[in-house]
Amino acid sequence: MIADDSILTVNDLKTHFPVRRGVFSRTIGWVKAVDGVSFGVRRGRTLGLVGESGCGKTTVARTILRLIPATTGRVVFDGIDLFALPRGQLRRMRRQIQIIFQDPVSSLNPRMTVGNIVGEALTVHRIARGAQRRKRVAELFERVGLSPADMSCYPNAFSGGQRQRIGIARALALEPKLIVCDEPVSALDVSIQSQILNLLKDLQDELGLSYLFIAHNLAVVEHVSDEVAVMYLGKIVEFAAGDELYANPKHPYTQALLSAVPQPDPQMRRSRRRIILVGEIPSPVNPPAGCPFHPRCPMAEGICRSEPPPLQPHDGAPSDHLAACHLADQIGPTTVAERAADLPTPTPSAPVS
Amino acid sequence: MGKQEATRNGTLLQVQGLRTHFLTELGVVRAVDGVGFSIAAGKTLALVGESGCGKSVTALSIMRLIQSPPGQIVAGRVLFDGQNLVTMPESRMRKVRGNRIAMVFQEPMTSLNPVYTVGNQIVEAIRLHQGLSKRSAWQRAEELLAQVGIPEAAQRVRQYPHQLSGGQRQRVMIAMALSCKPELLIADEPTTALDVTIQAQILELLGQLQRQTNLAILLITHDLGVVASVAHHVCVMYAGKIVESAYVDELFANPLHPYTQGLFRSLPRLSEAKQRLEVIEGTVPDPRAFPSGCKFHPRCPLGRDDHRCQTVEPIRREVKPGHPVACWKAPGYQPGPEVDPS
Amino acid sequence: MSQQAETVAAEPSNGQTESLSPLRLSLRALRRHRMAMHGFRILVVLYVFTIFADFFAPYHYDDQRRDHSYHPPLRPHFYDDEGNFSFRPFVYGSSYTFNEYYQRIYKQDPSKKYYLRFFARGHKYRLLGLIPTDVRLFGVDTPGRLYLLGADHVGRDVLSRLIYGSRVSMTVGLLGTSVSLIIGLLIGGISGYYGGTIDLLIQRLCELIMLIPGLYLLMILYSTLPPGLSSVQVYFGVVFILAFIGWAGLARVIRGMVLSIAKQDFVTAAVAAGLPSWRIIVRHVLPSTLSYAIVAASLSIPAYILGESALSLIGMGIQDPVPSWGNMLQKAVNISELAQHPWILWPGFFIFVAVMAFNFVGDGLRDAFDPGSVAGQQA
Repeated sequence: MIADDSILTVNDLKTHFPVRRGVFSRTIGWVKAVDGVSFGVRRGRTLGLVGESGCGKTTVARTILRLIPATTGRVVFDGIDLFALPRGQLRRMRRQIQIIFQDPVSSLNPRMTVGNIVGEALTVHRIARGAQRRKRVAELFERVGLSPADMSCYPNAFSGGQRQRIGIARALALEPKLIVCDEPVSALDVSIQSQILNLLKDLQDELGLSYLFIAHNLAVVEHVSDEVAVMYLGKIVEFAAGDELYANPKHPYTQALLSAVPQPDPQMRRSRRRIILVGEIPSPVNPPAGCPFHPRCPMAEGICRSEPPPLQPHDGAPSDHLAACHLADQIGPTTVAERAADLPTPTPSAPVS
Repeated sequence: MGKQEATRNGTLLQVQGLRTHFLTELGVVRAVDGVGFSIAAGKTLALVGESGCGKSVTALSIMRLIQSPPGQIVAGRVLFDGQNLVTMPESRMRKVRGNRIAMVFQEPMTSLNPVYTVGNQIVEAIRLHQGLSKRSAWQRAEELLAQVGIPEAAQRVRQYPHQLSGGQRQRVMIAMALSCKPELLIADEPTTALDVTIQAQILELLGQLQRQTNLAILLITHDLGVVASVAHHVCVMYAGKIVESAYVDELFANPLHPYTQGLFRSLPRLSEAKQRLEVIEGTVPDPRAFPSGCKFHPRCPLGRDDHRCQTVEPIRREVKPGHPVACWKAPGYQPGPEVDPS
Repeated sequence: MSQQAETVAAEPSNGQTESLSPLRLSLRALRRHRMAMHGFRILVVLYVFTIFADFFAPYHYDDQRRDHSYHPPLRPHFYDDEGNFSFRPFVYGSSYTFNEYYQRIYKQDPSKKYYLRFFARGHKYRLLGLIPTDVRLFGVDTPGRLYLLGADHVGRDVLSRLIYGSRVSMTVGLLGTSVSLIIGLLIGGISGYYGGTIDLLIQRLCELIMLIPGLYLLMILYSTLPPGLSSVQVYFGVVFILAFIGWAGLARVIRGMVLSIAKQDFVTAAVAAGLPSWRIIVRHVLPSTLSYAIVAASLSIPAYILGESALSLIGMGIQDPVPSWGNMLQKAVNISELAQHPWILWPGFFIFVAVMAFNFVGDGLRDAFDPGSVAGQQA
């Protein structure tokens, strides 16, 4: 899945956080937030990274940007090994990869004018100052659909959608090649989401940007991504092109995710089989042995409890569609739903084990 | 006043002409400006809208939880089982709150008190409203946790909120809300902060509880997918008013108000060809400075340049049976009496 | 031509075309706090006295009249003994005799009238340190003496010394707090942002400084000052001693705030943009601590005033003849002196007023900055 025209390749990335106890902070365990993740983002394209809370997708993003130290692994951006860069070069490298955040409130410094927020990096990296900087900031504002007259206002004057646009303008200021979008529309209203998604798409077409798009909303991810990777408990469990993943999901977790997405269509809702998963996402400190999903999987068998499944192609899908499941060869689009329907459904009065 | 069994399918809650205004030093904020609907026992009414439309304030107004000053219910009635909650004295209202009408909030972490165990918080409500002894109350709390699907309830009941996951905390909130066997449950964005698979579990749980106890649910959400999953009846809110309401199948098949239509069109859908999403231009208006006429007109492709839409505010009129809408441009919109959704 | 993105509303969504920073919004809320505004006005008056001390004080602070030791306050009259009205107030001359304890008893001498003059001429000074002049707000012609608040043991006018004394007492708080604020912010910021060993060492240092009881630390530090310093140098020495103790408490709190501020997304964004660490600390992290820092500073100014007063009272601060409200109270320590000449307690009253005024302003600031209160309006 790492194509030749990848602008970013990630190889076996692991980020483990130590769990310390005691007066002398002994390490008694590790939170395996990211546990062996590999993928590539193709130039000018969007890779969607989807998963629920605790799956490690945000940690992957922050580790790639070296905002969090990685435990092992290799990240190559445009031919350069990011983890081997010394500090000075890393700072210069940061121009090329930027990030957009989820929370429109905390992602902007409330005490700086938005013009300063967007333009500060230009001064620091010696790209433009004074009148030239103001001109560039005005251009950026217009490009994201804001009025340059608002440059001297503070963030408290703007709505959530407008703040996200400011965040996008800030990311664009340094003319990056890759933008990591960390749940950029999750905190926005529905009618604003579509505005921002369209804006991101337009910018990608105009500027040839590549995106690593992280989200938990499958419909949004499918809409913007060329390829999608599904994460669970620190690992990638399925990887495929966008349409392929939704038409032909091979991993039981993906099927459960898809069936859980609330669809704004009551008829479809009632006719589609729902897979209600049992239990909660386990803690990344103590991931289950074998396949991390097996305690909740309707299809789990003996081998799933002992052997971690490799991420590889399977029957019934093209060769660039990978899934980490021992049983994926036998799984069709409705297999998991049928199996889940056969299991006794948990009723509210009976405790679920 | 004894609690009546909600076995009949009559109207349990009826809101009429509710107006809640906030007096700030920068003007009057008309957060809720003429809202009416009714809910029957055993049914779910969904109140849909985006942030700032007034749906949460509506729920808080029903529960009389609006902080006054600066807010105040300035008009309207809320008839619960025949009694008007708006004019009820606070001492009697306290017997209704938590007891007959319960509320579940969006953020389970901040809605649960972090310094008390979850069992303590459930027991507090039980002992207050039902007067059980400590032992029976704790037992009931354990049963409730099991009923909402929390594994190992006996241990969990003595744990603190931070030791539970988001989904479990929300279940605890639901258990607390159900502890006194309420007739109406108000759920304010109960699953917005949760993961998709957990959301599915919680919605499934709410559906089962409703079937078992004939519980009426007022569900507040911005997610149309959730509405399609669980609601029987839907009211769409914009800028403090209900602009359209209908049964769920009818609304999704036949949205009449341009705002509702815009909402549907701007949703990214699974398994649809990837293309530019449709957009509702502009942003939600500032409640201190609503536009004249129809509050949606500056963003409306139909009404933006229409003189009537710009100057006169349309009232809700029944365009089809059971499907009132407030829009001059809705097909079949004729002069007639104002209709509250029912 | 690039495709235009859909433009959202041209002005900010709340309909206002001006947008105030969170700081300005809080200051606006401050103006509504009545006690704080009273306190503020009192402080303005006191600081005007401080800046224009020479103009307001009838006499120089060391203008002695040994034969007027402990002269009681003289009241200006409008009517004389015969009932004549005079527009211009006047004071009588005074004469004294000794009683059996060899104390002076003062009596007013109606035969001598000294009229009060406004904009009288006195001894020369430089206004604001620049303009040479000798005009004062009011005074009496010599040989009359005006003791509106009485005289001290060497016959110096208490009112004049009070006004000159404000120069020390009112500025030591401001200056000392500014110094400790800057040090505390920087060290707290570095400690919280970098963490690790730096944080550990700095925090232990803060704790060490805070361990030692304040007054004794002051005395120890004072004794390290070399002898023979001019009064100005002593003044700055005292300021720096106070600031040296004050920064530690502030640094600890700032460090705690920095720990949580640094987790916010906008700080991450700054790191991701490749900004240098010092810039992130100073321009992004510390400004969010200002609301607390300003309140803490304004509430600590009274402590500095009291600290200087305490030092001067025990003779370890500003020395005679330069007046400070603290050293003016030295004689008031003796209860029998105080009973006979109660007007020497005036400096205590002024200290009280100044401290209360700062406390009111600090309270108002705290309410204005508090995001939870009705007054506070910060995002």
